[in-house]
Amino acid sequence: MNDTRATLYLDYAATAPLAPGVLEAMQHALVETPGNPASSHAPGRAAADQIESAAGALAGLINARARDLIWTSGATESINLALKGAVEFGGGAAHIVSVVSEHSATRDTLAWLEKRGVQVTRLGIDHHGRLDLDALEAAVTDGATLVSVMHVNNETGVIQDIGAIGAICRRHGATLHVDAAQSLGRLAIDVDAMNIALLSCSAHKIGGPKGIGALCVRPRTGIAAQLHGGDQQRGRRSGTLATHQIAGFGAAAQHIAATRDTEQARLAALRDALWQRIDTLDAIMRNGSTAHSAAPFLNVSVAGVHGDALRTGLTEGVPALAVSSGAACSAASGESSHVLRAMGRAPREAGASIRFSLGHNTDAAQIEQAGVRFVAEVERLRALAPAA
Amino acid sequence: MSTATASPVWLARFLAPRHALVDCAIIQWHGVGEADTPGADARCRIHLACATDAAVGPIAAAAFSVFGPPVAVACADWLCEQVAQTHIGEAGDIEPRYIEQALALAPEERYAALLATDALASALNNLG
Repeated sequence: MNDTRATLYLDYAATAPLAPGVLEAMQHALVETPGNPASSHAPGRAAADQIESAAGALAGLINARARDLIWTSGATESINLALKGAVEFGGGAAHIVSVVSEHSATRDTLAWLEKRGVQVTRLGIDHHGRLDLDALEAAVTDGATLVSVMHVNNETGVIQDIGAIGAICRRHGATLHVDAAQSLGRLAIDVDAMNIALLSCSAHKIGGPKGIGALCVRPRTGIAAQLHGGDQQRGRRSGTLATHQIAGFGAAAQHIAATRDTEQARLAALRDALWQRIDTLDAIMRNGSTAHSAAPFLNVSVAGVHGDALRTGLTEGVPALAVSSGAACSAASGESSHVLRAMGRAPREAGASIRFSLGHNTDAAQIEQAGVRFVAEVERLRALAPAA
Repeated sequence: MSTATASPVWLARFLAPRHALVDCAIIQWHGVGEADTPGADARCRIHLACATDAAVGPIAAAAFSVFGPPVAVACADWLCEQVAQTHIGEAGDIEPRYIEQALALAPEERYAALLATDALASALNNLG
């Protein structure tokens, strides 16, 4: 049964509603171009044209060539293909340098590779969530073959300096893989200027459909296929292409390319207004560098409130706030966000954290309402707690 | 983060508890007891007010304060509701499994029932 309570959706980092034009592009692909894009007949060529057009739109967002893109099921598959594929192509012996605050798609893939003999170095971050470039250079100098870094952190929105990281990789001959799931369409990406060899991205974070992503593989970068059978995409990732999903991704890329600069400025202003509204609370902290955060993100920790209670109170109360806990904290496991802990937050602070992420349907009235609701819930939970 | 589906029974109690200390007008309590979980991830305090003599007789009112996950709030609220108007001698007989059943707690939530009954036992012990 659908939950009909009023919900303020502020979880665009988890997924975004479809952007304008996406549904229409998908419907068109499903109805008007039903052919298999690998077929040489007219319906097949029409489907292939749809894919070519979408590839052009996505490639334009990152200054790549359309032919450099491999369509995947999403960023998780792209990351798996990039890391496992690069290691296998290189013969299996590799030294990968990454960061402790990466998404689990990267962390779990690296752990899998490590069990198979790959050397993995995981670098820490400072209390702003930023990577120390000197530490990175030292690690890369130590014989790294591959560097894997996320551009924008999915919990805090903190931006890593990919241009500088790319320059380090270029100096030392290391291949750079970037997880751009949260930065595509939010930040300028130029795979050429940034010396990015492999770039993973996802459609549904920018208003495209779920279930489609892409891996950009730059010229002279070798990867071994991880999915076999059919030789589609020049053998790099087999399987019939989902024309409607790709068309939707292309439409989302097209929309965001046309609106990015003004939209990100608008979201930054809304995020700052939200922070101003909730910063009226005592003992509230903003997580992550304010100078180096992507516009839609606001991650906060509040003292004196249990993280699970805060999340449940916000998401289940009225009006409901669709937000994520930047941390996954449970009384049973005592686990909290690995990102916030890496930034030096105490487990309980990391536990009582909330990530707001804004997007194309967010407006000032929603932000005001969300701010009022957040402050009220924190005050309610603090009042429920035993006095010290 | 708990992956258990929130029970409507305990969720409603968490969102709108009826026996929170902060909402209680009583200013004189005869017994206060506290319990916490290892690592103090959750802390529960129960307050009891007696109708007559603090050592015997019925409990006139009970209220709680909790720092902890939603289920801990709900368990404390349910327990306070049961305790009010019961005799002191009977209040200590309320077992965690009664809370588990009433609020349909998942196995990983059972500690919250124990937390509440431990706090009640401490409050009963401190009466007078």
